[in-house]
Amino acid sequence: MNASINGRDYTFEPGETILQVARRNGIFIPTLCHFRPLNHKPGTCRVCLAEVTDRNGHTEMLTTCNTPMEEGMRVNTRSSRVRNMQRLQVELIFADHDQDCAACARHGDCELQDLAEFVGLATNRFASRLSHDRPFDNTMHGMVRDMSKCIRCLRCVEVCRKVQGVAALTVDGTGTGAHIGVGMAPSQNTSACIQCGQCTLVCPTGALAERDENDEVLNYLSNPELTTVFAFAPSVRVAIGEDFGLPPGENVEGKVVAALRRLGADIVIDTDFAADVVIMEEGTELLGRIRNGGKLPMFTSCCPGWVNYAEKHCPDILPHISTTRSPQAVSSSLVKSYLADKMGIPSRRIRNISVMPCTAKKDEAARAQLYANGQPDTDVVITVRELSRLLRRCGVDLAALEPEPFDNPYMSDSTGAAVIFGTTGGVMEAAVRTVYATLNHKELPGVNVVPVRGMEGLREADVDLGEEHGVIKVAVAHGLGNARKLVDQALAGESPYTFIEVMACPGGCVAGGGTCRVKQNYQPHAIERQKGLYAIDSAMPHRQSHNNPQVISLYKDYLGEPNSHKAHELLHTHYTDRSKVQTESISATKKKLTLTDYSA
Amino acid sequence: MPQLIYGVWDNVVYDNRGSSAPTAPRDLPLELFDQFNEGNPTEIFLSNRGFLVFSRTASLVWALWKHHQRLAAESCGKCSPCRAGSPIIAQELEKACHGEFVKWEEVRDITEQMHETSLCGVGRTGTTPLLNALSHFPDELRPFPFHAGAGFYSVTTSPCIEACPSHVNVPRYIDYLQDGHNDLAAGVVLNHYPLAGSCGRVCVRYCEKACRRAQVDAPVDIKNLKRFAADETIVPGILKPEPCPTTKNKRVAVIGAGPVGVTCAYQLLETGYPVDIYEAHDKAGGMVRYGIPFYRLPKNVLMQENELVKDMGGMFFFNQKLGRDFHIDDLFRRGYKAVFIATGCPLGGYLGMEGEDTTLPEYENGIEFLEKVHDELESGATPSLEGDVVVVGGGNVAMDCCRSAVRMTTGKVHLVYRRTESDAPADREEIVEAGREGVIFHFLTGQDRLVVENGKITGLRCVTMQQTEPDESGRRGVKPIPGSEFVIPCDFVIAAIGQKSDPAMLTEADGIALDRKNCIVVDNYQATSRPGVFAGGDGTTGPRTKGPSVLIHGMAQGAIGAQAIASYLEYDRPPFLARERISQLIRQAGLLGDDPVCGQEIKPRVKLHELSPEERAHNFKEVELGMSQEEAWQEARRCMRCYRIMSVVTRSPIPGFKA
Repeated sequence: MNASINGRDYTFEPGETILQVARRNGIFIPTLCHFRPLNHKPGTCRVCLAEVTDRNGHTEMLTTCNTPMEEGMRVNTRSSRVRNMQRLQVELIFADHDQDCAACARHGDCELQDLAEFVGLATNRFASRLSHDRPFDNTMHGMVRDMSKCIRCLRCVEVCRKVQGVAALTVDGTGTGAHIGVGMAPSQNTSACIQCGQCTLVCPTGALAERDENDEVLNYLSNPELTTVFAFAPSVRVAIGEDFGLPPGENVEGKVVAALRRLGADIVIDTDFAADVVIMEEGTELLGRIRNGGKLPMFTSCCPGWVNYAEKHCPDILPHISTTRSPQAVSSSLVKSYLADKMGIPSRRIRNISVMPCTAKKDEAARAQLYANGQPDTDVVITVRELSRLLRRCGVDLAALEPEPFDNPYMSDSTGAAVIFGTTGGVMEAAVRTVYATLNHKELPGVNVVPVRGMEGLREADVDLGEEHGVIKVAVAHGLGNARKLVDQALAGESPYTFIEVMACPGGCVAGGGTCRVKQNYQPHAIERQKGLYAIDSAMPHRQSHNNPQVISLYKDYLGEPNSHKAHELLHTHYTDRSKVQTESISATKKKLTLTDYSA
Repeated sequence: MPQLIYGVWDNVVYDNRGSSAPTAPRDLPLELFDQFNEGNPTEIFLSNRGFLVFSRTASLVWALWKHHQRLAAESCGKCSPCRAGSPIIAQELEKACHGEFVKWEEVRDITEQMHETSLCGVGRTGTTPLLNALSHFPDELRPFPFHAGAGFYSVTTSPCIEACPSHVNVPRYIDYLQDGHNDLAAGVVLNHYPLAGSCGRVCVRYCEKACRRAQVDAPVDIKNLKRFAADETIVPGILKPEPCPTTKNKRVAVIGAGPVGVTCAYQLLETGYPVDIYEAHDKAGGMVRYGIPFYRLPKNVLMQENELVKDMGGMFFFNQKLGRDFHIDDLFRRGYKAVFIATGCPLGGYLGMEGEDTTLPEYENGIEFLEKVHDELESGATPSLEGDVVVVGGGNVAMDCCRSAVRMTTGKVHLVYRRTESDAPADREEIVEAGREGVIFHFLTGQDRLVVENGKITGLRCVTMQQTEPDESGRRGVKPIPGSEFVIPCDFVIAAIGQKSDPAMLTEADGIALDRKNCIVVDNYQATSRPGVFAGGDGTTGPRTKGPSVLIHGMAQGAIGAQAIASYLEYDRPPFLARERISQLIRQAGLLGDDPVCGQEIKPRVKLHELSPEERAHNFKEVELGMSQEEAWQEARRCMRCYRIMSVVTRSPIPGFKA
């Protein structure tokens, strides 16, 4: 089929939108709400206008993102009328937008600023003319919802529903008061939100962002009384380089160590160490459940988005979740006990600073279950994005730094098993390597567990545990929409699986809600980051958690054996049912309706 | 007859300001605009079609300001031009009214922007009057002394809202669903009547017939979206009723706890009146309860929705039948200050065939049959029949009877109807589903007489009909083909050809005028001939031609009755129903044109799951399964929000509305 754009003829397939045809042929049309990775085109920003004349000679100004191209259409994307209307549209978007750009979480990284440039905004006649007094919600540990910045693209609602199946976000209010809300809940913290942060990856402005806690970090660093212990997660080393112009997925572990030392870190340890400890504990727990008739399938517990989801959305599954704490929690707990002991530092003087690809980890750190002596084990969590910002604030160019090795003698050894925790399928693979060796007194042949690798939302594998247990079925899910299927199956008593790994974010931590964002895109580098982690794994001298020399010492010198009494006290946790059905009186609901006229 | 001074209608300019030969839009009956309410002429009318000024002293700029205030209040805030444009224009027009400096060029740019690029009808069509005024009568936009005595009324409507007798704001509840507020979506429906989930299952869907989405692919599945909203909130108790504060001391009696009476009681309770409901059966629900089979409406849904009224403070008195247990006078004697009669048409009719014996146990009327089946199901029994069944009729009751019978017998079920299939007033879906379930249709077949042997029915003698030539109205009648008689062997015959009110309920002593068909005569405000007595539903109108009764019509009458009763008790006069008035105007003047839809992407209607005919066999499980949350979001996204805002400026204030 044929149609013309700006006087040139192009062919197209039935069903293609004008925008698709234009883009395919290199014709740029500015867009804002449209989000290609999710095929999201709510048609709310009305910026992608073009003058369209149909076969009958009828001309209309249409939004190209959601108008199908038709045979014989003539499209003009750059007449002065089109440009003027696109420009006015952007002016109108600014009319109720908080333009305190300097103090915005997206300063310099904002799609709305880009759009202003795309349409050639020369004046901003209605800037701040209308109220942008909309909710500001900082009740969450992980994120901040600043609706004065919202431009109503609804991408967050889409990702929350379609990718995560959480559906915590709603559209509230009308007119200039329209904003993203949290349903019937009084605040986001008490809502169905699990703080996975996927919405912060798609928000084009600073309306949804991580809670910036860099000043906490700087306060600790500048206090001479305190010993700061930095730990960073496996995925951080393959994610943060992008923000400093390095190729996506490149391993910058040594540079991160060097950078943290430049900031003034007293001790830099590797969360990988704790990931290996998690495998020792979780693997032992799994074997215990298999042998003693415990709740199966057992679900992993290292992802805080998943734990929040289980507590808030499907609490019946909680007895199926491993009681082993997450690597962050294990690390922080051991720093303030084991490491404090070994290094002779009073634990009250220690501040654990955790660098994570994840907004929900901030929330995890605040869990009452993960406090000891009235203090949180993890004192502050910053995301990858915050670390980038912190380094820029402190004038540290990560790319220019010479890599430095970890040097802590107690908690910085890593294995290949630990490093793949950062990708979907990694925890499962690490666990299989160790459980196999525990049962068979020899390493798993070939080391890799290829069937659990990949990016499909749901994967399963048969794992031969050897003579005593034979073949068990395991499954891996990422993205909570996928996880929910396995949960429902397990709750119905129909699960064929013994062990299930769940990561809330699609792709796992490499695509976590706290990783670097790419404008107009959704996790474009997750696969490179994943490849980066597998490359590190295959090059490691030790590739199984039980072979981590410092982990062996930890059990020998301190904990005894996995699942020992002491290990339980320090490394295990419990969960609570936080699901709640919000109810409301009919009359209160009616008062909330925005109908100016409804009676006869 | 009002004189059009000037205006623009469908892009044609009319300027009679200096003209001796006034012109006006053809096909627009201007007399309809004459008086908006009694003694109060319409001075300016604004709509998506343009604007009309009928008075030389009325202020167009003031009218436009009020209209745009309304528009700004209606803007959902999703699309940029309407969200920001509508309040800016309202601000500028306010300035204009006060004689302040206005950048008209800017106003024009924004108005055009909203008109051409807004996402929905609010911005696209709400701006038409201003755009027309800017183009053709800019000199009329001068400051004007504020006309303090003027009246203003504005309505936001759409084809689906106008089609609905209750004027439920359909796009609003669909939007709430899409926005993730199932509670508020249900709230929109609950503004009108409590039976949201029931109506969401059995409504005849005038709204869907009016849906402009049909021009693109298929109408939005409005009914099932409503059902979804109710099922997600009312059924699981997320939305809870609470006792309504009683703010009035005059008690009202409602007779009949069917949908009409329950809706009237619900609205009166909300207004603060104490209400008692008298019901002849032992439970609430009326014809919806026993007349609509379980496979279409599970009765727990209905009962829960009836319970809302009880929880709000309504008192039910069961087994209290009008004319048997009490009379209208008794109610006034008991202290009620107003009465609403909603007793319906509870009696079924027989076929009236030559020599028919209605005492034969195998010869029943449809209503009795359905009630018997309902009672058995409710008591937990499994109703069954032995043998073949013939149902006579072509309406929804006939379909309910044959679809019920097919679930009860291992024999054959026949439907006999004298006209063609397309003449049958039953819902198309009902006919299709009856066919899928195995009902054997005999269209153009008239019943002739029962074949009875040894006191038992053995068949129904029928005659083949043929269509006559179309009469003047184009309608074709039917007449029997002589000698075509044949017998359908059967064991049961069910007459499903109509319902009537119970003549034993009202006597002359009650002082309420009845028509020839024994229906209660009511005026536009549901008032009967007896002061203080109001009535609604099938008992007033007679069963509708389409099906036994139209639930949504009845509920609308219940709501209007409630307003009329409140007005009677408060002011002793009929209410002025501005919403009904403007609907009348819209309907009579044909104001909602069928403007074409263009540039829309195809989004097929979500296909719902239902039990297969095999799964339905020998049970009364609900056939249509509701939507999932994902399906509801997907379906809700198909709504195009064809909102149209219409505003009226009158010479003096409109009762009940502040200008």
